[in-house]
Amino acid sequence: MTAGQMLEVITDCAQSVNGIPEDARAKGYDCLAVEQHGPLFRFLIRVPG
Amino acid sequence: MSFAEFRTQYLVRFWSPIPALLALGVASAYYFAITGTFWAVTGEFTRWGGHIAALLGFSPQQWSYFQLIGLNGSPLERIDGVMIIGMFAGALCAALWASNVQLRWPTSKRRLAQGLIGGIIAGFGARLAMGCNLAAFFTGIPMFSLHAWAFMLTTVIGAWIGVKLCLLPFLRTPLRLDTAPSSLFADTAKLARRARLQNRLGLLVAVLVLGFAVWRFEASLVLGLAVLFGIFFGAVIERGQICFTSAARDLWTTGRTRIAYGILLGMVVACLGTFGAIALGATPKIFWMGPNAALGGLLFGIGIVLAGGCETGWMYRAMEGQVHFWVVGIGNIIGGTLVAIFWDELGGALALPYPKINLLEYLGAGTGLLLSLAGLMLAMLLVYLNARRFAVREGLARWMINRICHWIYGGNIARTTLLPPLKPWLT
Repeated sequence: MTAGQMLEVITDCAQSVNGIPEDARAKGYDCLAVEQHGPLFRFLIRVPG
Repeated sequence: MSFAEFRTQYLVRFWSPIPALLALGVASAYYFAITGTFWAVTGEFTRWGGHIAALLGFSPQQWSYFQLIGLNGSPLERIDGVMIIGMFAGALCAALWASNVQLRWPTSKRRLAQGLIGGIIAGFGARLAMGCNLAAFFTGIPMFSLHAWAFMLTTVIGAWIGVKLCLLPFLRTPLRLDTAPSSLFADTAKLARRARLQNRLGLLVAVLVLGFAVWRFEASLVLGLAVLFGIFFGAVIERGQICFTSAARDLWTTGRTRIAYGILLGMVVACLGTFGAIALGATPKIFWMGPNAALGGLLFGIGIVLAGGCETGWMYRAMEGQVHFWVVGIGNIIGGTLVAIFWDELGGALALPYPKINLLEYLGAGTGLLLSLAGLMLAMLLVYLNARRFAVREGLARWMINRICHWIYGGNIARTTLLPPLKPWLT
């Protein structure tokens, strides 16, 4: 992926709300959104510019 | 604050795991002081295995393991039994109020088999060491029993072996990749209907379990309180998504720190609480510091990573409707029961000949407490140093701002709202 591109991650295990944002940040990416839609979870991760 | 705001803030949005674990540490110390036993689940699950064995015509009352841990009465008459019922109900209630209950089927039969085998190995390891991530770890270390330290250390080593196994090509789960944004969230009306229904079901579960607590209060104060503690434990582990497997496994995969710090800090506050209770006359639960503790921890670490969840982890995930974790739970009960069946050989060789070491007696009360706290601090330092192996290199100024924002805002908002305007000065 290149700078500015966005990755949408969808999971159905709530534990990912603890893991994915922390991992994204630790690897230098921007976690722009953490959303819950009932039993599904959506994360938006951007490759920083 | 309107009810809708309250619901979004506290019932739907997940709680930060560190305060949740601190609360669990405090509550577990009170639980010990009030009930005289520690917050634990696998011993009771093994008793359930014993009841099933009795139904099949065996005589588990005569097995030496059940003479050791007791098999009197039914789960409804035991502190551990009613606490676990409270935990399941608390987790179910929390998941329903977050609209997070749905039957989620495993992606493959292979994953399911992995869950069963991992569950059996974890259950076997846990009962061999006389505890799981609770009794030989989160609530075992605050009993000042040396065996829990051996179990914690070897669980982390076992998790490393588990990670190596799970990374074998035939055990990897394929991910679905797509280039278009997901359309899974289009039907908002359906989600709103789901939320309303689950709210009502959550209310029903709450009424039923509170009725159950009242019924148990009539039997005894301690049984009634155990139900209430169980509800609290179950609700908090679901709301905080407290996953000990993630804490141990992710030391080796991504270097995550939050849950590991939370668990260690939770044990610090629990140690202070149980120390007070023991000083006032409560009897700590101390077990053999034998090869059973180290071997049990190793097997437990491997098993939980293979299964994807430990004892507390499978309990709340099972209530969320994750079918995989029903199978992990069944595996745990089978594994624990296997230890009970073969305890004469296992215990005789690996546990019973070895001493039960109470650090408060062995080292003196003050030194035992201070060394336990120092050990937990050292573990936190090791978690921090381990995380640095995985960190990407970044400029000092950017690293400091990131850290400060992270501590203040707890995450995402920090980088998205504060960092972009600062970026020109940070690179």
